[in-house]
Amino acid sequence: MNRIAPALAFLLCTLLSTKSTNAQDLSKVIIDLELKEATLAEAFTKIESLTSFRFTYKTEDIAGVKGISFRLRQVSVKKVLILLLGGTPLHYEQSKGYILIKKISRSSSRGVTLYGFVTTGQSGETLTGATISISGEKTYFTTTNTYGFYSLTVPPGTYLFNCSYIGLTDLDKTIDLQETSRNNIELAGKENNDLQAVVVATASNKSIIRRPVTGSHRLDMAEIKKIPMAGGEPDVLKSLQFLPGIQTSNEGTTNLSVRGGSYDQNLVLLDEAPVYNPTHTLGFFSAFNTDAIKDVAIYKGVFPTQYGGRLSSVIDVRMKEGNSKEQTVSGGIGLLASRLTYEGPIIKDRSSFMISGRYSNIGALMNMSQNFHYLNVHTTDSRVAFYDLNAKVNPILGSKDRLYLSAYTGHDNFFLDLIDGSSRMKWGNTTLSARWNHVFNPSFFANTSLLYSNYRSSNINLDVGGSYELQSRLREITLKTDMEWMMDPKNLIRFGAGITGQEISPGKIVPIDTNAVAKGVSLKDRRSAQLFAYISNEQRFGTRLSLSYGVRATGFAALGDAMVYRYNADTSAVIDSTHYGKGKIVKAYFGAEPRVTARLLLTNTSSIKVSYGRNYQFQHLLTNSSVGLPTDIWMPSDAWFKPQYSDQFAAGGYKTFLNGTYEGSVELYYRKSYNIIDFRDNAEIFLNDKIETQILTGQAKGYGLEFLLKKNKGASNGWISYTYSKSLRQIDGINKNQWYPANYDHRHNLSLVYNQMVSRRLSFSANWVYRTGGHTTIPVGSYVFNGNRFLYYSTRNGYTMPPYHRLDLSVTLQGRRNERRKWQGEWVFSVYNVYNRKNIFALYTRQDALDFSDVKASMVYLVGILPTLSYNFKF
Amino acid sequence: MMVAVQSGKVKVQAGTKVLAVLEKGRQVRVASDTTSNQRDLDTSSIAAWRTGSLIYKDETVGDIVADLQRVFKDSISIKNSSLKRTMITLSFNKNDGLQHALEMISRTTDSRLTNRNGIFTIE
Repeated sequence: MNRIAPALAFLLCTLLSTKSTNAQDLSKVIIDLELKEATLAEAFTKIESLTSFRFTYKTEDIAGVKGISFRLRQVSVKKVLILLLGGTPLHYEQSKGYILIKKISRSSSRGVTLYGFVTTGQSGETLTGATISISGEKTYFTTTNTYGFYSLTVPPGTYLFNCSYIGLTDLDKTIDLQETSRNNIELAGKENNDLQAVVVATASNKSIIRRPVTGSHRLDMAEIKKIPMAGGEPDVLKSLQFLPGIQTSNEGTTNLSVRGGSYDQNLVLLDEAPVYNPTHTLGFFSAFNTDAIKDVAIYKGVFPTQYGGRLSSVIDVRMKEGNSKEQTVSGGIGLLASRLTYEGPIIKDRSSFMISGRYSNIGALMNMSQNFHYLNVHTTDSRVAFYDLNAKVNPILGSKDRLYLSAYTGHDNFFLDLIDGSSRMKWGNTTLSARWNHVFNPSFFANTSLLYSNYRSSNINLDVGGSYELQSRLREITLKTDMEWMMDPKNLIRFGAGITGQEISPGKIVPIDTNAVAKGVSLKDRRSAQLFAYISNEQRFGTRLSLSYGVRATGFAALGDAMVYRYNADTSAVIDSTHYGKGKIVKAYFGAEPRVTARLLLTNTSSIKVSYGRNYQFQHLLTNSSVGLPTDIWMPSDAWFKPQYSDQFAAGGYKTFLNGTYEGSVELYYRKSYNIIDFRDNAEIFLNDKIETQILTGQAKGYGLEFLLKKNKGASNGWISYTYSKSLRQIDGINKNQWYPANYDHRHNLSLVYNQMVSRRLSFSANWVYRTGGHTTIPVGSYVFNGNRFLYYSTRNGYTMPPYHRLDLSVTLQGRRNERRKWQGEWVFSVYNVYNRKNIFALYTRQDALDFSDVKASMVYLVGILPTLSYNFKF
Repeated sequence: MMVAVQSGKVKVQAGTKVLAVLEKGRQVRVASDTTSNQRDLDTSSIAAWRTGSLIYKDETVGDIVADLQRVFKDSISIKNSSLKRTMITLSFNKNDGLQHALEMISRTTDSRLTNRNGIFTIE
């Protein structure tokens, strides 16, 4: 007993002291409160009678606040105060057990800044595009930048602070802002790659309403992973195709056509470094391993000024930083690909690393399936394989500096008799990004990046006459810096500048056999440099109108060494040539891109936006197939290839319903592009050093109407998107100089994405797509010329293919939750193309070998019904 | 000066002039020119005084400071006469000290509190 007594006393003291500290914590004192037509003074008296808090205020300050009626059960005093003072010109200050109620001083234009980083509580990943709002008399709003940083300058006072991010639990708190302060936020709740899906999805719904940006979407990995995909392999780029205005440029592939643009007009960035061929397996997979990716944002036309270099879209993919709380291993085993990721802290809560790999060997599968006659593949030596590796390290250098180092490499090996038995292709990307964040002061953020991208491809020709390898390569390096300056509560200025150097080896032949007919030949490297700078301001006018305006300027120079030819009128013969020495400027271009967006808030939950933007692109992709092959060559602008540019107008209406459960938008766009290219009929492009003679230049236009209705919360969620669009081209020398549809011109495009949580462990997903068929050119007859029979074709892209539609389903069953065990597993059973629709991938014609007048048209379809089972795990 | 009655009946006189006869729950405020002003009050605040709480409901800063001087036996001066007339509500526990009480008054009224040679000044 004697021994127990001191222990008891200690326990009692501990309990008492806990109680007394809690007694002064506004958020921990819980009360029931009922008020009927009360004045604020009466409300305070009531709280005083229920708690030990005491109020102090100036009588005249609170005199005007009356008629308060509400009934609250089990709420904190803090919440009560927020409710009482919200919408009044009052705020509170706390000093021990005393609560001072004061008028918000309007004495000066003095602003205080609240700033910091937003991360997930679970893994410490920074969150991009998280919504921050500070509400007092007025609401101030911002979103975190790509590094999770935010800064808001407001008049001093007490505010209701809210931070939200899709899929995570909202953070609400009252803040008393008297001086500039750092406020790093950790959002709790469901995490991206957490397999234990407890969906507490709340929408960052204010972002779509308030941001002065049109045509932009952001998809979180959690959303992407829920969408059923072929082979159960979630895909970043294919998921984007379910959004309005974004279509596949070729069925079944990751190549995107955004608002009627061609797929080479999309800038795909991985941690800011451009990825020149973001595909695996000829486009059936994107180059991005979803386990290594944090999120993806797409801008469909009028880009923010920090982006440039392409006409149609910017797809900004961000790698995960790695878990800074604990080490985890996650992975998945699927039919088509398998993944493994290892991440963890280097120093807990300060720095992290992530390494992720993926491997796929479909070829082996195909060779095997030949034995079962499942797929109609008449070969057993197919080789279709790829791998990719992502690695990232993020040391935090101090409270003001952070470094991000990331690397990606992925390679493909492709030989498929079905498509082309005479060549074997290899290709791969490597990117490196080094980025340095620096917070100069609470309202000034800077990032400096050094980016490297390398794309290689080779085509090994297996001709009987002797094998040779055709190699090409692109290398690019960029140094740039981006600044964000929250000048005052009304102006957010972004500016930056950078330089890019690029070197392309368009083609080099390396004989493999000694008896190879081909000799070692090489086209001259093409070098170019770009200097760019931009500035923009996001300015608020009153409470409803916000304007974002800015300009991006780029100077481009094609550099020697180069030979520039001059031709006769029909470019059939060279009449002159000029040689430019190494480093000499062959041709320079300048492009100014004004961009402006206006946003008008109609109500707190609806807005309209109008925007205009011009984009420049100083390179073209030379592709002689509609599919887009890895061997397609990027060609920088030069004396002959003028930079392409486009003008786009977009307008839209945006609305959230039922407290943000639903969000809807309607957008209208019109765009016109200039200096786009296409090949002449029967163009000769193989190792042609006068490629300009095979190219024709023209214009393109497109317009469309896009609808999106999205449900963000609840056990069932998903979206419906519909696009009506038209995309046309006009090139002198093609189709009798008449406008003709682009092959990726789909009139109607409908997508449904649906997810249903059945129980804590079981969920169900479905998606259905329908789109009008694309266009192609088909032979309509044949003729004999000089004793040879040739095909006579329809007008360019004159044939509309049958519509494409497809239903995919998936069921996910999570393993039993066991608190003591770290292992979490889930089974995903998915069926791609459930009703086995034979959608056309390609349409080709072949003349009979013996009788050339006999022409057969064949339709190639890729995947029929494809059931897959995959297993994902994490520990 | 202020007189408040928690229970019973109290007569308030200035010299021979009867200013008020107060019953339970009433208070009278007597100005220096012996004009007076009666009103109702919450008896709990009087009880609170005994337990260490000082409760001033809609009182002028001048009155509150005068009372605080009496309670804490300290010198407090207010420079600004409009501040003296400002009405505030202040609930306070004596044990938290005069300094803290005056800080709260100055924070509420956006004035400045200084302490020079043991004399508090609010301006």
